[in-house]
Amino acid sequence: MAGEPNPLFSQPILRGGGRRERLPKRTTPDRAAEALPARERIARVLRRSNFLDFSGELENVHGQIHGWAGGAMTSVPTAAFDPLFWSHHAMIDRLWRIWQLRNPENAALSRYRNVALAPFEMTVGETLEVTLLGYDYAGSTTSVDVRR
Amino acid sequence: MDRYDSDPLSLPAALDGRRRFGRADLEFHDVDHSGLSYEGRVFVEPHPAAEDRRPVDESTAFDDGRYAGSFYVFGHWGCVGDEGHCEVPSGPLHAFDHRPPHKLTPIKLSVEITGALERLVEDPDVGEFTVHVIPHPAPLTPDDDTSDLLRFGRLSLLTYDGEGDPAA
Repeated sequence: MAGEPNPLFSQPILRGGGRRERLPKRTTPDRAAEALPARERIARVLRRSNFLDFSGELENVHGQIHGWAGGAMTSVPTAAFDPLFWSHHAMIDRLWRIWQLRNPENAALSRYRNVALAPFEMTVGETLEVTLLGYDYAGSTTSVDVRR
Repeated sequence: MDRYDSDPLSLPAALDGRRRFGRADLEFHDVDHSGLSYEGRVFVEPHPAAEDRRPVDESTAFDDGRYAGSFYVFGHWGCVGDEGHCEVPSGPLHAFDHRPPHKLTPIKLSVEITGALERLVEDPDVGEFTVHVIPHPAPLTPDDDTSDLLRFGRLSLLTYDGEGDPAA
């Protein structure tokens, strides 16, 4: 609700041995924003035409953001408690979509297509076309300011 | 391990015998990602290292000429589950087993080191080099044990002879 604290912030998290802890706050990164992947780095990842090369390099970029953000974002079981997680993964999903459109013959290795994605009743092959999942990413946006 | 220092590696030559390449990647195989997240900072230097050169350590900066690049591990912060849940099956899955790989299956990460390797081959007296990896952990809580993060099975150097970047 607007104006109310995010309930996820006070949600205890469970770690090994059943110990419950408070969600850690994001820490100030020790590296400046300039250290984050820049446009050219992303362009290089997208130019990798082999699926395994592309996915490996994208995973590296993905992990870099998690570590850079700090706090809950730094570990798999807690990362999604941070709202930043969702915009980060939307960007990763968008890059995957752009790569698919550029490499339609190589959308995923055939051996992955029938892998089941439990707990969802879907396979990898059934998720490859995002428009069938009900969304898409704009290829470009242009706007003009009409206020004078 | 808390850091990795390779044995000396021979500087590669292209198929025509010349020491040039369009791209060079260091590949880290079977990287463990079950623990904390961390950045693995990769450094390369001629072997034997100059005696007056300060050894690479946690404080070695990005602008040090030996810095080659980084890889990033997004860690699972341990594993909680019933008996067998956290054990990664060994061996290939059956061809008709459509379950996804175990979540803790080790991964392969690569770091492009073209610039760093070019600096090494510029010196005709350099025949071998060493690789150093220094992990910089991203602990989730102050109690997290940041030791022994760096675990991988094999290191490979791949060079591509073609003119320019094969990904270009």
